[in-house]
Amino acid sequence: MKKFLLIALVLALFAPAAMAQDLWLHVHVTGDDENVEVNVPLSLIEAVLPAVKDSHIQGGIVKIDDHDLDDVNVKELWTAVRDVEDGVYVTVRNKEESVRVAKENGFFLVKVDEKGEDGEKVNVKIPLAVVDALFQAGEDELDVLAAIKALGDYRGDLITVEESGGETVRIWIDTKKDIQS
Amino acid sequence: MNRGLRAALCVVLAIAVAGTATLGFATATVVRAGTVSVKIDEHHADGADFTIWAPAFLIDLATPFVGAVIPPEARAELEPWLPAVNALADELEEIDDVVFVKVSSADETVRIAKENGRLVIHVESASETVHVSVPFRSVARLVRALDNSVA
Repeated sequence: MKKFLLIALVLALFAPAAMAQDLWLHVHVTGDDENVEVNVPLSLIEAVLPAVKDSHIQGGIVKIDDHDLDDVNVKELWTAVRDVEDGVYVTVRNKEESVRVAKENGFFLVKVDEKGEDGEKVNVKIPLAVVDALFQAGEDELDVLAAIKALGDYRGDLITVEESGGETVRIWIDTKKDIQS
Repeated sequence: MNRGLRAALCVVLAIAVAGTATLGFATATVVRAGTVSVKIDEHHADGADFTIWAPAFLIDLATPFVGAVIPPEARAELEPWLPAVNALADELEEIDDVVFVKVSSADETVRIAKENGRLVIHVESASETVHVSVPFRSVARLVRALDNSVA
């Protein structure tokens, strides 16, 4: 379930990067029991997203109703992170895990390495311009279309997850239309 | 050859030309529209095993009547999504052949792809095989007709 939520979130945030016609968003999940491969042209999502009119999404802007975040001004938090120099902001190292959150060379990076039998390894690499664009909408809104435009020049991995059971999740953008090509 | 016979031959010739042209046009229409195929094979003793093959232009012929067969409640639910579905159909018609989704497990494989301009859905499991192949052009027309009928 967590895996599919992750995929849905990334599709919602980054799929509409359809400005660059030859870019493709790939989601690849491999496991012992099942392999899933999804290939979506960004141009397709760019064309479709503005046409989606729902109570939560209009013209590529997503409204957030998450009351858990009422006490946290995520945009201000992001602005604070954005304005400081490159560096490692969070480092956690203990017996259970190591966590590193950093800003480097125009990217927001998160690396989690859980130890033990059930440990997961997670790598997140998001261009800062994408997050900037995402937060340029009004209060309680995310400008997904703008984020996608900002993502237009990016090629490479966005998220990789390696679970202890051997399952892997990889989400990335490149110019190949499918994994084999 | 007398005048009457000549006139009769002209009429026969005209009918033959018109008939040939109509047949040629109809053939061209069918070929251009392609075919729709649906194959279902249930892998057990009493299971269904059939293949339906039909010219896709039948879908094109049916599209003007799509609006009439949709219940009002369904229309209300569909309406907000139709512009997006319409945009999706237009874009899918334009892009090159590709596998959009592939799921493979020990029990089942599912494949959704665009192949030679056709939407192909293939499901293979221990209990059944389902294969659907429809020209994207027909899918796009159907969606546009749906959009127009609801709008």
